[in-house]
Amino acid sequence: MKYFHSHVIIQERCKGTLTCLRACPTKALRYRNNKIIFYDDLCVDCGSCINSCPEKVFLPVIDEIADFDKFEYKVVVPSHTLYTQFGANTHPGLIHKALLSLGFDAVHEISKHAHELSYVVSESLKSDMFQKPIISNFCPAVIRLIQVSYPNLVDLVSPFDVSRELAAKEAKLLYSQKLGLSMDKIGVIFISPCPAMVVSIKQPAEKEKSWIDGAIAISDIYNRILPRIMELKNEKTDETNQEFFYYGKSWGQLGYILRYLDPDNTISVAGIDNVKMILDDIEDSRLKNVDYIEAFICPQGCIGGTYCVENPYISRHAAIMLEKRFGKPHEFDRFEINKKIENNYYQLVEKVVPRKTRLMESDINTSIKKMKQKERILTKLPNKNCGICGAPTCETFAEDCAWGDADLTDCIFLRTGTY
Amino acid sequence: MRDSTHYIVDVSRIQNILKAKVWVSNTSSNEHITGIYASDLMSDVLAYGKPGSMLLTGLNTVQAVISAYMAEFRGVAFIRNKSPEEETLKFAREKGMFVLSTESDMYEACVKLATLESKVSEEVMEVEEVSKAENITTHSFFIDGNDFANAGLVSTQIKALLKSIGYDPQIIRRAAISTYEAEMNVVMHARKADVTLTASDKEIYIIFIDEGKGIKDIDLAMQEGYSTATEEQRALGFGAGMGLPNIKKNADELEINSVVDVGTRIEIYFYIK
Repeated sequence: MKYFHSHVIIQERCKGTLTCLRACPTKALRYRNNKIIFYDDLCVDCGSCINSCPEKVFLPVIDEIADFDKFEYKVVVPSHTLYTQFGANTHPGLIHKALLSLGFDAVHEISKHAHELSYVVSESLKSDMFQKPIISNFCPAVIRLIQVSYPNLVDLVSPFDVSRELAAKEAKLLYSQKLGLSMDKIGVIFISPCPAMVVSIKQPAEKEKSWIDGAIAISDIYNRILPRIMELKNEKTDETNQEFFYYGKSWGQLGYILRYLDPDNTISVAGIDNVKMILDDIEDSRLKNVDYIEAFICPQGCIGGTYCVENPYISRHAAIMLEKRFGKPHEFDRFEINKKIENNYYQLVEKVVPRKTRLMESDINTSIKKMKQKERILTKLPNKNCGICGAPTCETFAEDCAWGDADLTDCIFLRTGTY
Repeated sequence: MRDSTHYIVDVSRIQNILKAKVWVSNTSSNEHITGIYASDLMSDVLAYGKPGSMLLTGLNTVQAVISAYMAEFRGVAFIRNKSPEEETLKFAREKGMFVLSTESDMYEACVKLATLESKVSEEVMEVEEVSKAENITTHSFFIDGNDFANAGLVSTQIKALLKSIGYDPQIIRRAAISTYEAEMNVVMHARKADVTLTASDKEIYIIFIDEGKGIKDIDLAMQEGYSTATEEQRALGFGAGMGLPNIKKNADELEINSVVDVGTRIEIYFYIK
């Protein structure tokens, strides 16, 4: 299977600093014959390579505003993270106004859907229908990490669609009805804090097709709306009465998916190493009495995303202050939502399945042979993890040799006999 | 050395073994040769030399380097400490060849190089030998009793190994749970334990042999909720009496043998369909 990824590699820019292959948490990169080799089945789109490369070799794949001109009506769905990028004093209403000035026809908020969804999750945790703990599917990089490295946990991935998808779905239904247009004429554009969410739109892991038509990076749109926000601030228009602001704006930050759930039985975790630790614990059944796990690949959650402009700690402060100053509770009709739950409005039809890596595709005999070979090779290697062979660690190099992707003579220590 | 790609030897390795002086070095980063030809007769070099080799010779003239170049050799080594003339070095530099000289005479140099050859082929053989080995792998681990800080380390390692073999995810999950429970039992009730994992395409077999107080009544210990854990251990969230029943539930086969005040032996099997 060909995987869509959040970046393309511009080989000509590469100066061979090996930064990316050391940064890659799933060891999907190698450097051989002055070229970057990309094992695309191992990539979880966490964005580490994009962030770490000093030469900007990894070019993010992202849409431009002009790409959406083909739609008759353009609805923009901003990630919650966008609101935290302009300080603690910028009312979300101003940000919406600034977005509309870029040529979008409407802004559709996620918060409401996030709030509804957490109610749906808390209701479903009461029943025994689901295997527990449920792992939140909000962060697409976490889902991909599970597909690649924790295939035995795929069944625990949340069976509900994420808030941004629910928002897009409702926006499409709402505006097609209102305007009498067919759904494909209404473009829903997401403003993304990270490359992973872009991938989840272009090639979802959990369903056939996303409701969202494309994505723009926060960093791309930041410079274009900042001056407009400044103007609006000076005009002193009163936005506080606008009805489109709901409680729950701080989603995307560590700990906020859980705020409507029982804190007794929930855990939040952020940062890839911490997420791996928790996933390991789930595998060993070490986590007892935990029903729901919120996990983000980026430290601090989505406010630490690759496309965010502001320092995540400042964003977090802004999120807390925004909610304190402008937050309004969103009242929803429980009866209506319960009806939607019964109609499986929130539930995903398809399931997340493990990814087929080179290991999964070979039989046990071959992989045991390869493993033994790898271990023998590893005893010959200096274990300095210098990376000069083009693999991030001696262990990965040994594995590559065993699988025939690399040659022992690529090791400078073996070749010179200095080890 | 034969010209198979596996017999590649770095020039610096040749230089080390011959204790050679470097007159001209090839600046490219992967300077290596794929064979050696020793002769003073340049017509032989041209007739029998293989591309990529190094010429070992006593003929200290520019003709030696030119012949080596014609035979597509990578460089030349002179014996008995001969100093090459400037013309020779200039030619080598132009053509990107290396030039060495060694104290050894022809015989001694050949012996040294032959030793290097056998060493290199041994390294390659070892790797090839492994690929012929049986399709079964064994790993040993050690658990320290009462080491709560590192409890779970062995089961994590075992899980990583099983994952790297690529077993069915559900079997790995069952094996991970079973080994974790067995490991916790050791940490709580025994002084130490040796763990051995044997994996093949037929089965996964994990055996825990511990030194400790043993189990008095195995049938009783197999009951859910039965535990001999101390109050302190329970306060930490351990000792719910689910360990052995949980292993039984997840394993395809479980065998327990125990002698009181000596130790316990737990064997866990998973069968691969």
